[in-house]
Amino acid sequence: MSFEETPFDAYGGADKESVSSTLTPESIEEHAQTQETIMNEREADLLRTLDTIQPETPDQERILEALKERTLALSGPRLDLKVAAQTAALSVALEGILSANSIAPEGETYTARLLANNPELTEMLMQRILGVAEGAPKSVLIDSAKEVLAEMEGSDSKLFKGLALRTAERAARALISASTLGIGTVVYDSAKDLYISLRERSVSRTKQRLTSSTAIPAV
Amino acid sequence: MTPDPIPELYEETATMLSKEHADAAAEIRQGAIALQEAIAARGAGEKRASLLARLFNGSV
Repeated sequence: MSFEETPFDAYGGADKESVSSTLTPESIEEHAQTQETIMNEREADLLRTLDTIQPETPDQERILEALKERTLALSGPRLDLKVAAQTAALSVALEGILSANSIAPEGETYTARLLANNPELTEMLMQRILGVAEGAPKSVLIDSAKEVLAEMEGSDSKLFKGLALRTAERAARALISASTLGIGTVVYDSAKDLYISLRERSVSRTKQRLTSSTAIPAV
Repeated sequence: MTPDPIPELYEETATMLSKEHADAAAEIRQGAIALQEAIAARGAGEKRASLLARLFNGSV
């Protein structure tokens, strides 16, 4: 499947023109931004519709509240899509940085920016680095990964959905070092695991939704 | 680095998440329509009951 054959039209009419046929970090981010806009508009439209409904009985009030809660829960797949895009963009960016055989400062800055917005992936990457670098003569790398994880824990970054730039820059340097030291699969393995996790979350949410959907039609 | 299949994984995952979002939103919309119809039907039922009451009371 290529981006030209994107199936998103079926789920909200994504703008095909916004997706480049050449996959670059920018095109992936742009693609994700288009999807996010569609989702945001869909959620806002639903909330506007629900706001016009004036329930007349306690049962109707209960149902309206349930519908509003479900609308707010739509942020789940929307935010997961953002994480998926950042992960893909990071992977493609790192591949480009490493295949260029020289690490330009902007490559590190870009990597840091992506990591700053993705604590979940950063944590996974740092732990993966620790796992594969343990025992090897790469103590600086291990120390960097440990420091990033400690900073993340101290700042509760996952709770606030973002990393301090300094932490992200340190993580970016560790990641690029890991890749140049021959631990290149760390990004692919971590990204793959993250995608599996995102898909499992989606399946779980869908099951939960279908199980509880009997509550809504009982109007 | 390993040849990167991540963009393909991204597309598949993004499709799944987009579908989840669209399906869930469609269900909410259906629920909203059902609720609106129930409120309207209740209102119509009350009007009908009111009309019947007025008929039987001889005020119409």
